[in-house]
Amino acid sequence: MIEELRTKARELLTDGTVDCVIGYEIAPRGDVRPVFIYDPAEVDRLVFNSRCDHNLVTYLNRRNKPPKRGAPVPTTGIVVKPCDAKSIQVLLNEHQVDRDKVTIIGVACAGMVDATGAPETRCTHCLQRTPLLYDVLLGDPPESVDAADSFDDIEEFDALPPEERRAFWLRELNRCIRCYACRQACPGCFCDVCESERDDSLWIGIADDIPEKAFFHITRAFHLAGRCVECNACELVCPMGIPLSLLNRKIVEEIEHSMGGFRAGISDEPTPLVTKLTGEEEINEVHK
Amino acid sequence: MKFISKPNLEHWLGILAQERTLVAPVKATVGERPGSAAALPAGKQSCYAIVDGIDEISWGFQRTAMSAREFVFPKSECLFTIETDEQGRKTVRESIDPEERIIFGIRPCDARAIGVLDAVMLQEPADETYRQRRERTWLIGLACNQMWDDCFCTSVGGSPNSREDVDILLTEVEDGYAVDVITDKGQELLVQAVLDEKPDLVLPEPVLNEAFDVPPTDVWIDSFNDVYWERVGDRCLSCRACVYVCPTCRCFDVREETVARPDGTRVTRSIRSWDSCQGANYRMVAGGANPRSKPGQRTRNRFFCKFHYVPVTYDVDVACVGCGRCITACPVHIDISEVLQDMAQKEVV
Repeated sequence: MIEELRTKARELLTDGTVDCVIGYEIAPRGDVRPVFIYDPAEVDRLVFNSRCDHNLVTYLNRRNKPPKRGAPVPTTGIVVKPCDAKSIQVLLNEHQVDRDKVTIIGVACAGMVDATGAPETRCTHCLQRTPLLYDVLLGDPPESVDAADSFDDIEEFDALPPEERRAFWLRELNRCIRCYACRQACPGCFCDVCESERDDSLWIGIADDIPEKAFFHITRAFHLAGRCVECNACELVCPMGIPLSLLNRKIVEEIEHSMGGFRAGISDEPTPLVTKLTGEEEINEVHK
Repeated sequence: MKFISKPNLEHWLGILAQERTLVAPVKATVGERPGSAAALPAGKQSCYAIVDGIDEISWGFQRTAMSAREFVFPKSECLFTIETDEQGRKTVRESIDPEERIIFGIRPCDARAIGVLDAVMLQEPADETYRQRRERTWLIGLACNQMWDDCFCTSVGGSPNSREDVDILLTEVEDGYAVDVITDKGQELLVQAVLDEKPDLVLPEPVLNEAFDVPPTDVWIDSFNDVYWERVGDRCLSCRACVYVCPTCRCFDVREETVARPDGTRVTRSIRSWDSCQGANYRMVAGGANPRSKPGQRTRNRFFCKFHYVPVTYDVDVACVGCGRCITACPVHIDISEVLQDMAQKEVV
């Protein structure tokens, strides 16, 4: 499949379909990392394997905002796993990505593994083996695991007494160093100015204290309600090992159970937690 | 060579912990949660923390996830408070009065890093809060018996058993530790310790990683406009992990934050917190102009700061101590050792 990937990337760059292909390469110490390929001669750097766990879609937010006003949005080819494709769908639903500027190189995915070779937890409850959205699909989709997500992990955590859960979160969030890697890695976090980084400290101050850290993480989880696709990028990049996905999955579960089985990124339906205008609303007299 | 047995060392640390605040390496508290299989990688399993007793100390620790920087330069601190009463009268209260602290088990790289902070923060006019805290801090170093996976201290002028910037350096030997007293401040602490004299004590040679050449201070500026930095910046997420785990970074932000109370009084706290050159608003100025708006410009800044800006501005040869934490912490594997080797090989035009 890697040869197909390189051939496709070479083709897209050579015929001018895209300015850049965002994919994965092997870093000098053997880790997999994101790579931006501009030159067809460099496509051999591209790889795909079960350690390609970064969600590259976060980079589309950046490329979608050209540094100079009025400058054209560059065209991008991007390697996309099934979870990442859901991120693109969320961005499309929220008018953040120009579909015409993006060539989606979908890859069939058997799930990612962690550094020890064990399947990543999020992949064990992911049903998609083929991206729902792609322009070209590479690889043979493995057999799909046909089992619904049971949310066992969330139920187990919910069963703990409230004071234990509280103690757990205070301890975990206290380790946060406010590096914002979780937010930066998240395709769904695309605000120009995050509420936690306003110069006026209107919502969140700059102190390294639990209230500030907890407020940031809980608010971020709320802002991702109905938008989180469970790619787990936030948790994977956390330098302090905070189990952030537990917050997000709790909300995923709440929404699935209370809003007719809604899951983010599988249709062009935006999160049910935002107001959707139908075009038939009457503008209030006051605002005329 | 002076020697202290393990029981005597523990006894001595116990006495020190009663008299002053003791900071020591401890095992990182990682919540075990349902559905989580992954343990923290070796580089994140321990951290420095204030300990109540010596039984909290983690003896077999490697490099800690965060450096000891926060104990001389806290992640955030309140510089002063202003209380405003119902009549609008204001009372200003300074809140800097640091306690006496001993950092036990600081690794030689982290101690050298405090040397870098000293050069920057204590250059006249000195940063007063830093100076007070630093003067009341003792550093008891613990030599590394090996370099860990991402370490490269020997490439930037350090070594796993460097004596620089510690008050006392301990080296693990059979049944105890060799004690190297370096400063008078260190001698003062050792008064309460039971030491032995072992003239024929041989210190172990640490296991080293292969060193590489680091480009000299003056060549960096030629690469300022090189597209190389844009390429490194492409993958950079513009998070702050590298900066916050770095033992020599010292950028900060100061803000006055006011809380109004229901009874009509207010309290304003002047808070200083770590800041980072990697965040998008790092160089934002009044009017919204931002000369470091691209990630690559900010990535470049981090490397230039360590190897060019600080060395040409302060009395420091190089502002990176090779602890390798930024390599471990970077979510997208931007690797300072790779950048240094790329720069060394670069034919600058």
